Order: sequence, then C-alpha cells, then structure tokens
Amino acid sequence: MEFTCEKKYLQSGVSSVEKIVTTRSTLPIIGYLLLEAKKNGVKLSANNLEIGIELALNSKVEKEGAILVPAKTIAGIVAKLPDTKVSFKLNEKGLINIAFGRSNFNVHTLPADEFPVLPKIKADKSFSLSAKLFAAMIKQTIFSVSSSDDKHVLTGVLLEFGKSGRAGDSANFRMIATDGYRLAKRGEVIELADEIKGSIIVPAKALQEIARIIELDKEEAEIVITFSADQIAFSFKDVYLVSRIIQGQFPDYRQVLPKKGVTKVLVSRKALLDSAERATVIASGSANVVRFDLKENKLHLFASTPDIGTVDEIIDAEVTGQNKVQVAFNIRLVTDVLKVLENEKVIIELSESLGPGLIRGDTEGQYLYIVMPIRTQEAA
Amino acid sequence: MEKTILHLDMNSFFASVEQAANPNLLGKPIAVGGGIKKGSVVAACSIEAKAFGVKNAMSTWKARKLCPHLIVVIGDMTKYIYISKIITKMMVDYTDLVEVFSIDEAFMDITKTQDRFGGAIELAKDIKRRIKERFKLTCSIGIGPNKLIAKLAGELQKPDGLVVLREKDLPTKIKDVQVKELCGVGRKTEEYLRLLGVRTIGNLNSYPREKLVKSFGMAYGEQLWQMGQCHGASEVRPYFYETQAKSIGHSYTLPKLTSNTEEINGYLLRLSEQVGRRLRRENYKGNVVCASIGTGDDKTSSHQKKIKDFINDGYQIFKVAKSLLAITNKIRFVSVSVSGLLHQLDQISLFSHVENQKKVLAAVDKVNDRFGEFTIERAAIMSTGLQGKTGMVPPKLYGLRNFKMELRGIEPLTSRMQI
Repeated sequence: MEFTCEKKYLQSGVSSVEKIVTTRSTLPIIGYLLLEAKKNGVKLSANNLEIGIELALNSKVEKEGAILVPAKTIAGIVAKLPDTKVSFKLNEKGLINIAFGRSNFNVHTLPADEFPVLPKIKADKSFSLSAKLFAAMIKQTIFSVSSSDDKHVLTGVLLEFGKSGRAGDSANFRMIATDGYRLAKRGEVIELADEIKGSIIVPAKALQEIARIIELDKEEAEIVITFSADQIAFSFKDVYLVSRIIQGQFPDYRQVLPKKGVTKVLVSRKALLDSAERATVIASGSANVVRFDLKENKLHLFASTPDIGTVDEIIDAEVTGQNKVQVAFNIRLVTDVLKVLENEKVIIELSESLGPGLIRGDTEGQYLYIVMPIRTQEAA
Repeated sequence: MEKTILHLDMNSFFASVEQAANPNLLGKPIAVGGGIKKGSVVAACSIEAKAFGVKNAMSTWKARKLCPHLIVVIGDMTKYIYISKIITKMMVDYTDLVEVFSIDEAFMDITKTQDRFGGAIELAKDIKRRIKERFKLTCSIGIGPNKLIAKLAGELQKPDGLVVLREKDLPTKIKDVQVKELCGVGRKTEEYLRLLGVRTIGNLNSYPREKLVKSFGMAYGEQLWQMGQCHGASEVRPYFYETQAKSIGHSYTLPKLTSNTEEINGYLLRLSEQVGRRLRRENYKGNVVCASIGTGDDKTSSHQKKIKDFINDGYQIFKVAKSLLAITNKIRFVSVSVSGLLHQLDQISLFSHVENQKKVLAAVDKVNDRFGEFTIERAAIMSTGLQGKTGMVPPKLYGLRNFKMELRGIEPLTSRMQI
C-alpha cells in the first residue's frame, strides 16, 4: 500500500473519525483506524461497535492495499503536521512509513481483515434535508439528553416523523431530548415520504459526531439519512456514519408539554443570559439554585450560598398575565437553552411555583424548551 | 482575652451506666457489647476490665481470654442516650455554648459565665457533683484556653479527673506528654512523628515549622505545628446549631466471613435502605455513593462514584453501591454511604412516575415512623435481618448526628431566660 495525501485532507479526515475511537475498550482493535487504498482513492474508517464512520481521503494512490493503524499515534502525528504532502508506504515488515518534509515515522500496524465490518443498511427508509439545518436542530436539542447510564433511552435523541396533529404545528420532523428535568423540542418542515412515520431514538454521540463534521464543512450540502429497525446511517458528502438505534420506549413527551402558562415574561436573551451566568457564581455553591422572582415588570434572579454571599440580578421584562410569581430553577438548565437560542428576545412562560417553566424564542418558531423547577424549603 | 474552655468526658460511659444501673456489677470487670456470640466486639469496658488489658473495639472472644471472668452485658443505647441527654441538659445550665462532641464527650465555653459560679474550677466541681449524685457516674474534666488543650487536660487524669491548664503553663506543664494524646494525632501520624524524633509535645513544640510542612503537607503540617504551639480552635459550636452533614452512611459487620454475593447484596440493600431513610428523614439528597467491604480486620476497600442525579431512594443507592463492589474474597464488613449532600432541595421531574415514586417513599416513611423501622420493607431484604443491632458501637463511633437529633428538645439557656 502506498499513497500520498495533502495535510489539509488528512487533518480533517482524521479529526472527523478519531472521536469515535475508544482506547479504553476491552477489544484492542477498536483503537485502530482502517486505511484502504484503492485505485479511485483512499478510505479511512473507525468503528467502536456502536458507531462506525468512513470517509474518503483525497489522495493519490500508487499501490493498493489495506491496513490498520493505531488511531492515537496517527492522530498525534497529524495534529502537528507542517503544511505539506504526506506519504504513506507499507513495508514488508508490516510497518507503515509516514514521511513528510524531514520527518520519518515507522509505525506498527495490524492486518486489515481483523477490523469489524461497517454494516451497510438495507435502504429501508430514507430522507434528506439540508445538512446545516440538521446540525442546527441537533445543537438545539442534544444538550438536554441524560448522561446517566441508568436512563438508557434518555441518552439518545428522539427523531419523530409525521405531523403532530397539534393546531398550528406544521412540522413533520422533530427532534426531542430530555433528561427527566428539562426537555428540548425542535420541529421542522422537510420533504418526507408518507411511509416514513413513527420515531426512532438515536444515540447522542452519533448525532454529536455528525453535527461536528457538518459544522467543520463550510459549504452547504444535503445529508441523506437512512434507517432500519436497528440502525441509522448518515451520508454527508464523502462521509458515511452508521450507528445503532437505541431500543426502548421514549417517554410520552406530549403529556409533559404544559398547557397555557399563567404568566408570560418577555426579556432580552442576552441580558438574561448574562445575569444568569453572574448569578451562577454564587449559586454554584448551592446546587445552582436560582430563584426567579417577578415583581412589577422586573425579573429578579436571586441566589445565595452560606459562607459565600448573595446575588440579586434585576432584568427589565414585559409581563403579561399574573405579575407575581416566584419559582426556583437549576440555573444551568436555563443558561443551556439561552446559549442555543438565536432570538434577540425570549419568552418565559411560568405557571404555578412548582409547575414547569417554558422557554422559547419571541418569534413563532418550532422550538420549545421545558424546565422543571426545584422544590425548595420556602416553596414547600 | 484568654478563653476558658471546659472539656467533659464521661469515664467508661456505657460500662459505668450499666454498673450504676445494676449494683451487682459494681467493682467488677464488665464489657458492653453485642453479646458473647462469635464475632461480637466490646463496645465499651469498665475500669476494672481495662486493668486486665481489655480495650474498646476488641473482639469479645479475645477480651474473655485476657479476662476470663469478664461479664458481658448487652448494650442498651436508649439508656445511654437518655443519660447523655440529661447530662447535656445539666451543662446547659452553665452556658449556652455547649458543643456535643460525641455521646460521652462535650465542650463548654465558660469564658463569660464562669464568674457566676465561683470560677472555672468551682463550676467544674459542681457539674461533677451533680452527675455523681444523680447517676453515680464519674467524668474527667479538662480546662484550657482552647479545645485542644482542654481535651488534653481531660486526658491527663482519669478517672474522675479535674485538670486546669492556663495559657501561662504552656507548654512547660505538658512538655513530657506523648504527642498521641493530642486530639488529631492518630496512630499513623504518631509513628511518623516518632521517625522524625518527635515523641512528646515538648519535641513538637520546638520542631521547625518548615520541616513539618515538608513532611505532612501544607494543611496538616501547619496544623501539627499549631498544635505544638498549643494553639487550637476555641470556637464552641453549640449543640442546637444545625451542622451540615457531609455524608450519611451505615455499616454492618457480618456474623461470619462470606463470599456469597446474594447474601452480601442483601446486606448491601438493607444498609442502602437505611441510608436512604436517614437521608429523607434529615431532608438530604446526595450524588456520591461510596461502598466499602472488608475482611473484618483493618483491611477495607472502598469505591465511590459520582452520579448525575441527587438521590435519596435506598434502591437507587443500592444499585450504584452494587455496581461499585466486586466480591472476590470472603468478607465480613459492608458499608454504604452517600455524600455530596444537598439540603432541602428537590428537583421536580417532568415525568409523573418519578414523582409518584417519591410519594410512595414518603408514604412508606410515614408508616415506618409510626409503627417502627421496617414495618414496610422490600421483600428482598426480609431474610437479611441484621443480627445484633447495628447500633452497638464504641461511644466515640456512635453517630453524632443521631445523638444531636435526640437533643432537639433541649432549650438553650438564653431562650429559657427570655420566658
């Protein structure tokens, strides 16, 4: 096997696949990358048995062949490359020679046939949409997934197809993520064949990786998504990522969508985010509890920690409905959503003090975020 | 102004209470513990038993070997708690600033009130007299400018001691006292200090500060140096102050060595349920679970894990604790604790099944409050009744928070005077 590749292609290729690699696996082969050189180009793959990815490396092939290279070593070398061409050449001893400028590496390899084959999905159901839009949807929901192994289904994002049937909701494709304490939902209208219905749960890690790859790419392109009962594949330009689907019952999120809130508060997103982040300085000492206190068109954020101090942030607000509400939230759950919203102003809808809070942009959009309050001593 | 701190330590508390309660035991070597069953330990022993070399936390079997006519009395916590509570009440007659240090030990800050009682020594004598009259019990009292020295002074004369160390006596009067007598110098530290040639408080007093910091690290080295200079905290935290718990845990010593995972998991679940129950009772939730197992001697292995959610449900605690332990050898000791505690906070869940589970636990707690622990319990732990109550531990190890809960009814002096 012998080929040369430009630094920029090599770097973007390796950085796209390396996050998949886990070195802590009991199966050592998972820590390797597969390099396959064929006449028409080089293919780079990684597979951790949960998620597999392959992409084309724009390169000039001198001699065909396939070999496994240790991911960590290759990533280390590639991270420090000068702006030059890199040549890869496999010698008789099974070492791969990586040469550029005046550098010369010889790295041990493993035979390619031991690598787990990346499954190709039988094209069951398939649809496509703008990759940038897809990445934006992921970004607005993925932070709400649970990181607890205990709640397996909640470690994934629910992809739901078809109209919801709710009045005023035209979306036919939705992403929903929740960790049990907050829930993010983003809808969109896309071109979707009628036979695509129901929902699937996709591991957050797979979506996170595909979103990262899309964001690395400056150009606008389509992403093609194909799924069967137990696997989902994403094709974006030269990249092919396949992941298993999480089996299980996602909780019925519709039941938790609050009915009309009692109070609507319109505030500047930036002002609220800045205040919330300042309040966190104090609140971080007491489980991030911040009390939202509504008084005469002013929203107060109040936090206190014994031995540290207190903070009272005042934000101008336009209030409709009941003008006196007091409710405590984990402030991190609030700042999380303020960071991914793009609107200049946001609406917070509050009900009673132990009911859910709802946060969304001020324009009628397809985004909705629900956060549950904290029962504190005063509220109890 | 020089403070006057008084330290009171009940002499052989559990054993003396038993002797006072049963005159037949007076003057005889007795041990209070879980009984004479194989594996039970001496929680406390009388002065007469100590003369034979019997020590607290020793196995009953070994104690009986040292002292064949040792009388083993089954411990009765309610009795000890009752008496300790009354003694605390007596102390509060002299000052509000009574800090309960353990079930048989307390500090008092008598700086401002001693004159009313004829000075520190008269005040101390008065307490000793009242305790003796009421319960036929003796105690050792130490008086010093801070808690460290007061406690040390108390250690110097046992039983029935009264020792006063003034600022001007320091360190001369205690220069020949062994460093291990200082509260905060454990066995390991003592050994290490001995290697450095430091055996007495006098040695420690003249030992260079930098060298202590170099050997023991910034924090502990500095603390040791301060101790050598006879400096110590003098702030007495009154018993009615709510102290924030750092962790809540329970442990159990099994009747015999075992590697039967089913049996061990049974104990683990029961302990987890107890921890959950206490967390709920004291209104805490925690997100760090620690589980330990041991062979019964000094060797224990502990593992802990920080989890995403703050929990107080015994079963959830059990699931984490179980995942932490790998039983490879026979063990005799299990413990479970939860830390990373938050007080009075409850993140409400989006999902009704989670909120319903909280209601179920609250209902079970209510029943158990009314009809006794484990009136309602998980079927899985019905077969793993912990033999010999877990409560029988040496007085110093008895959970201080448990005891403080008992003290809730005692009105501080100031509020009594307002009435």
